[in-house]
Amino acid sequence: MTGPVATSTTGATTAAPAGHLAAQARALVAIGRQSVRSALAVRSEVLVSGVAVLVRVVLVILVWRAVYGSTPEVVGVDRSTAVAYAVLGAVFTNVLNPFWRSSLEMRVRQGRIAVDLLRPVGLVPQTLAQQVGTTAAAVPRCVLAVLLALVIGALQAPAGGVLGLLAFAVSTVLGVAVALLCNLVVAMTAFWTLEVGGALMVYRAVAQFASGALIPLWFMPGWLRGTLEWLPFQAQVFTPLSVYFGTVRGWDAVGAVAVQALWVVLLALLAQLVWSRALHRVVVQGG
Amino acid sequence: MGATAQPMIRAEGLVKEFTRPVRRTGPLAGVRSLLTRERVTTRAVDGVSFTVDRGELVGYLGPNGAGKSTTIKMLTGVLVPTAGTVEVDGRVPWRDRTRNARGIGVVFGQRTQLWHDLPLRDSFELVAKLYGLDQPDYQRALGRFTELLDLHEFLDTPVRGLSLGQRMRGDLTAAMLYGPPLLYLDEPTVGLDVVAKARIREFVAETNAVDGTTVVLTTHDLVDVERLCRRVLLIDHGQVLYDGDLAALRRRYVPYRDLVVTLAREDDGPLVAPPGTTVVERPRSARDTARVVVFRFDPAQTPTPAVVAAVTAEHEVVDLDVTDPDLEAVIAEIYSSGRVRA
Amino acid sequence: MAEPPADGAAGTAAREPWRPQLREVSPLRAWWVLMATSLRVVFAYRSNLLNTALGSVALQGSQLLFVGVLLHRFEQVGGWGFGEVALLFAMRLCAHAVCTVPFGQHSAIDFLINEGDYDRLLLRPVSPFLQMLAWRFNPGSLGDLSLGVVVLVVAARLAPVEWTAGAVVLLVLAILAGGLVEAGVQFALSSLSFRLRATWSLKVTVDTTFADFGPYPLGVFGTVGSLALTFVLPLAFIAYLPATALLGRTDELLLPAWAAYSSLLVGPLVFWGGYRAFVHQSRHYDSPAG
Repeated sequence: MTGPVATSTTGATTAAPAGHLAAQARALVAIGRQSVRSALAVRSEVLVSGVAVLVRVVLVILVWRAVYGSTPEVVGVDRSTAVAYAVLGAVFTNVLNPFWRSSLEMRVRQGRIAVDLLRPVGLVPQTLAQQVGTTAAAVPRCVLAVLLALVIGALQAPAGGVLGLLAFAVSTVLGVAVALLCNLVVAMTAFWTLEVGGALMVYRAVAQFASGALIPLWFMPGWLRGTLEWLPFQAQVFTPLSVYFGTVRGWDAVGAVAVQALWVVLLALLAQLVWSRALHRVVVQGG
Repeated sequence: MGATAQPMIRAEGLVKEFTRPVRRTGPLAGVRSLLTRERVTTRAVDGVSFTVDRGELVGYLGPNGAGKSTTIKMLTGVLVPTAGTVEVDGRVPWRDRTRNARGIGVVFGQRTQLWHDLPLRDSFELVAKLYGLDQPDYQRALGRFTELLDLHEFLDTPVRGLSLGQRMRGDLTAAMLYGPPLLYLDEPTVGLDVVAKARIREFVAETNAVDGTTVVLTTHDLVDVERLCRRVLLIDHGQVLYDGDLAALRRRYVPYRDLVVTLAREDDGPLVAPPGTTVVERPRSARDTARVVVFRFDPAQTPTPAVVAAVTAEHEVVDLDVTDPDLEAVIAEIYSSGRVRA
Repeated sequence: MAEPPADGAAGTAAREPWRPQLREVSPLRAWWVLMATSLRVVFAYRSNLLNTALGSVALQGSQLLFVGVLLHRFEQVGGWGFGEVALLFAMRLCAHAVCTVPFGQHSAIDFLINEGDYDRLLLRPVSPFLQMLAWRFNPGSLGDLSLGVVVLVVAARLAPVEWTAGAVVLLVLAILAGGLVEAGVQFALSSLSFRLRATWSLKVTVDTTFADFGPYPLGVFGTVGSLALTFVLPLAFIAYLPATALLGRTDELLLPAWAAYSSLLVGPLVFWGGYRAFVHQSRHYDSPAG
């Protein structure tokens, strides 16, 4: 009885690394695609979120143009930069701080977490794959919004040509990673309290403001800006946009991107720590 | 049941259609269903007619998706029929929904009508207030149902902490508190243990007998039907397959009855089948200590007492039982053939 | 173990049929009975109450912070100074609370319909609309209310308004009417749930548009924008129009000066319209299968 089982297990372990990883990757891609699909499942929702971001972009353009009035420049920021920043800020926050409730919280709430833990793919990668999927589903409407802003002349191409565009792309990817990890850590509080609704709302509000998505850090009083620069939120939006507008360039830009990367590492470690605590809690106390 | 009395429920040519967008599968399914507007119409109930008299207890049966719930939803005023007419106690349920709601009790086995976070007692109090039951009447009703359904132990437990059986008893009380003349029960015994099922059945039978409450019972548990209903309505694919006496239905399908006897001795000599009966040897199980023999006969041809007398005259018998064929088999055959034998 | 059937039969015979007389229950009383229960449940879960209220405060507060930073740097928006914008913000937020405290449960409609709970509402002898409003109580609305009142008290001192009795009455009535406008719009959107299955993002979009663009004088949106935010999405009636009356700025309106007071009438009208739309669309309710 034990003979064949033992052989098959050893067989599996020798074959495991490559095959196992590939299977995991396939599973994650499937989860991601599934969440893209479910984000696009209800037509009215897709249409509404598309129109919503377009309307918001138009409204922020109007507000910022009015705020400037005939003043050409405030604290060294000219009108067209401020307007363009507001456009991109609205687009970024639309993707990074959605009202969605994390799938993790739902799973804990419904008591499905114990089952999820048994799956071959880790729960954290599962959750991240879902978030990446939902984020990806938001890309088309954001592209549309950016195109609209370009057409009505509220947005210019990024500073620094191709290199600038490349730097912006790298910084955006890191910004998205920071946002996803922050979301993940907040969602994991679901393991300690089922009442994460409030926490998520607070997080969303703080992230929106502190990331510079509503108003660039340039305009903030010195003490506030000084504080926010020590927090991970500015790495989500303010850093990529600063790269886009060339307000940080050259080695400064490299430094800013390095700070983002550092945040990614720190948040990943934090998520890992919180996760191991959460796992311990589930194992010891039951899901 | 008087010929002049208006029936409790009258449904005529009831039809309900649902229109839903087509769900697509395959590559780019999301995008494609985003762009097209294809819709599909299904007929859940397709021309159902019946009446239920006051004081009747009717079993409304059918496989999943047969149109049972949809019919009940039209009778309770939840759904507006696509075509046909329905009257409950002289009212059109969906048009006169509020008044209709005061005259009916509804219990769903699958989902509770009670307030999850409140103690059972508070749910009852709310029901009393919403239905306009006076305080003294409420107290009397509470006492009565607490007694009948033995609710003492868990009256102050929040509903989410109740067992399924306790919750069902709570739901039944909430539905009968204001004394509605009509009670709809949808799978009231689903998931319950034998004792709990028996208690629910007893309560339903008594409500029907004592209060004269008309009961429409939807269930998959045919024991419920056998214990409670004289009349059944069978429905499938949105149409009524059979409406009538349960016993008649059974007779039409399996015109035999079994006399099961346990013989006193293993070697009782050759079996003698009385005229009109055939012997069906039951496969022996390990638990059988004695020999069990089944005599099958048609009660219309050979009366049961005659068979019993004939068998006991020939053999020494320790135990005997007369059983009717399994209702489940009858129903299964009707569903699979899609019609009722003439 | 089981009682002999004879005893059971005797017990049965002793019972009288249960057919009590029922009183009529007014819709308002039924609503209050349900609402009081929902409130009791919410207050039983203190930590959730606090948590969610805090979430709402943070959400509205971030917008307050944004407007604060903006005015700190630019000193005016569309010609309105700090005190004026503060009053507009406060009126908008208080009106929002007038909408969310008693009527906030419209947000549950998608859930009620898709999970089949709407069936349950239809089985009770109370208007499903009222039952929806009293279905649960959103503690977040208490966050809206507290922040709104605090900001209003502060803004009333900062705003260049002489607070005569008439001005105070206008302020209170305007806030109530503004709340009715917002509620009416949300009811109308909720009514679409009976056909669309999901109106959540539509409602959130309108809600955040009101919240994020409510604190600006309408002039900043240009002629087309102002007209759209008056007649398509009635943002102007929630706080801006009556605020121009209080601040003596009716001359900047595209409409005649009396329009500044029109929200007092428009509020109840939009509210009634939204309610009628809900009732009308509810006829298309298709209970989910199963």
